[in-house]
Amino acid sequence: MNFVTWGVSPWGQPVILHAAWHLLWYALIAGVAFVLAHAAWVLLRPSPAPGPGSVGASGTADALPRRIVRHSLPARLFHWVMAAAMLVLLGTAFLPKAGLPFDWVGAHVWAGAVLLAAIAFHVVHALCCMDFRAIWPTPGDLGELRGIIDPPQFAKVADGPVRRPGKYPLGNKLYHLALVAVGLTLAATGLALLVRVPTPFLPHAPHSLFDDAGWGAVYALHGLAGLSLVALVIIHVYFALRPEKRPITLSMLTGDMDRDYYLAHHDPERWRVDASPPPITQ
Amino acid sequence: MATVRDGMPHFDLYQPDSVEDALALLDRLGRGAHMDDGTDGPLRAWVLAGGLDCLERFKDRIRRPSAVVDLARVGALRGVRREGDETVIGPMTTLAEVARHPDIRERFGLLAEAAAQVASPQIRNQGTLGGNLSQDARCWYYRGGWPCYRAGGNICYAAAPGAMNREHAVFGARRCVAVSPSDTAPALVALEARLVIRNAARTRMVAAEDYFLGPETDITRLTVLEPDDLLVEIRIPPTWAGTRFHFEKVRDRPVWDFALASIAAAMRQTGDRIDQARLVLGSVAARPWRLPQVEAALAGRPREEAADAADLAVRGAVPLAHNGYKVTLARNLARRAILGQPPGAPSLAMGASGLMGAPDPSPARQTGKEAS
Repeated sequence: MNFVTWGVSPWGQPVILHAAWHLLWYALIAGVAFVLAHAAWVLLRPSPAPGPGSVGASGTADALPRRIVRHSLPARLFHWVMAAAMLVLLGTAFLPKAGLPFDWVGAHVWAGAVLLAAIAFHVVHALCCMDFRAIWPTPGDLGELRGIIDPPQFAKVADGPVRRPGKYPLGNKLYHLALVAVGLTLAATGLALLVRVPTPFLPHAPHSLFDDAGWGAVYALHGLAGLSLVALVIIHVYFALRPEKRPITLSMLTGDMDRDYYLAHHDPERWRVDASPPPITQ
Repeated sequence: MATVRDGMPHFDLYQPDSVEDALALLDRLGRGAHMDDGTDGPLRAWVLAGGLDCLERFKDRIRRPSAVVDLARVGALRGVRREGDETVIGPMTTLAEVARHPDIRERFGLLAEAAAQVASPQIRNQGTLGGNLSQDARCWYYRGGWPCYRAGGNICYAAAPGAMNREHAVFGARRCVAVSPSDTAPALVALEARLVIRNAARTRMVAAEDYFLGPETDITRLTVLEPDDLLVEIRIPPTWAGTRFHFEKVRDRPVWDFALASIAAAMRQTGDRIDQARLVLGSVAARPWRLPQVEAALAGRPREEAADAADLAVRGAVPLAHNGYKVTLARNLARRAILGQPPGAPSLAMGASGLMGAPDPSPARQTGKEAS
């Protein structure tokens, strides 16, 4: 199976032209296959009994606010702007390849520009104003992995305390990691590609930056990352729609989640939440 | 290894004598071999009409079909007839036949004039109306076998700074800047012709305006024809029969050359007042370029007063490094069409420099032979 399409440069040299577009169907199949496999696994696995909740360092549950803040407004705005931009990018990139031709270049360029700006904002915002390390996988998350593989260990690890994820479950962290790799590849190659077509953003200089082989590699990386994103988006939407993930999904709209859900599904030691301020008394 | 030229490569030649046989062949061979990446391979069958667009590319190995379906023996695709008020032209009718056919000359002189302006007498005797409509882009980077967007690659060599793009598009370019080279296409769009397309599964009819594709829709082809499609009829409704027509083509040489720009106009008038008009520019975009703003501005106005509407013809034009002259040319062609000035006649309204107007600031050579 070819992952790229080859051509011949004006000098007679074989060069990569772009990703092989038939991989779109493989990406769709991969995404749907993952969804089906996961849904079957959830249905068939022994139902793990979640351990008793923990109130962590806050002492009592009542000390916690009734709604636990999960996503700040800027973080939510970034998420939805990025989601809209990515859907436009995927639609404009792949619908013509799937046999629905339309004038896609302008919308693709503008959506890409929005996504680049959103990513730049997110990087700065995450570094300055968010718990930057909370989303990155750590060795401490391996316990969750063992729990997924071996359901009886889901509740307890080596007879220790109840093992729950921090703010982000391992699956969430791994998805973010994949999206960082794919998204930054798309952003970097997309930024370079802006010189290949006339846009308001950069001078039109299609022969600058790389030679024919180099541009072929840029196109191929851009295409392959985009194809990977097709599968990733399918998986993301699937998890967002799963009933047990609904509070997490809704928190991306409202910004917060219920205290009971927080206590039952997260480890307050790994995701510390400020206790409610004491009532004002006179 | 050097490319072999001027020798016809091997292909299987099919010469059906009916439309049904031709469709069956295209159904079997049209989409050709599929590559292991799932795309259509380079070996699909090629439909041969007059042969003027493709034989040189076969010899140059730019196109290497494994099979060629020659339509020369399909009599049903040839000739001009009336069906009620409509004039029906077979796509294999030669351009010379179209140019001199009495019914076309009487009712649709615009098409007769456009056909008469194609290339040279020899080519018009061999070239067909269907072939002229469906011919491929004449960008020499593309024709030269360079791996541009239109050839499935990832760049337009003609749009790059420093490229030779004197003959390329000033309207509707999206990545690719090649133009439609057809002279008859603007005329048929102006006449609101409809084209009947068949394949083994279905028959469909498309407006001439929708027959042509810009690069924003599909960057690898100029028409809606799929590999197994066959253009079987060109039908011209009576809508514009006998109205005032204007066709003008500007080219480097008086004969045997493609247009730098052309205009086809049909106008319905009451006295000197224009009631309704359709104006279409040729060779300025990848498809015939209609001028709806000009048409709207003309409606209900006397010709002399409406001539300034020609300025609207060039709204949205984006010239390349060497084809800025086409903007002036298009505006002046539109003005002449509105005023009804005979092709080639100098215009006082345009000043002494004629069609080209003010000198083009680009270093490209000036091309005003017909206008001077």
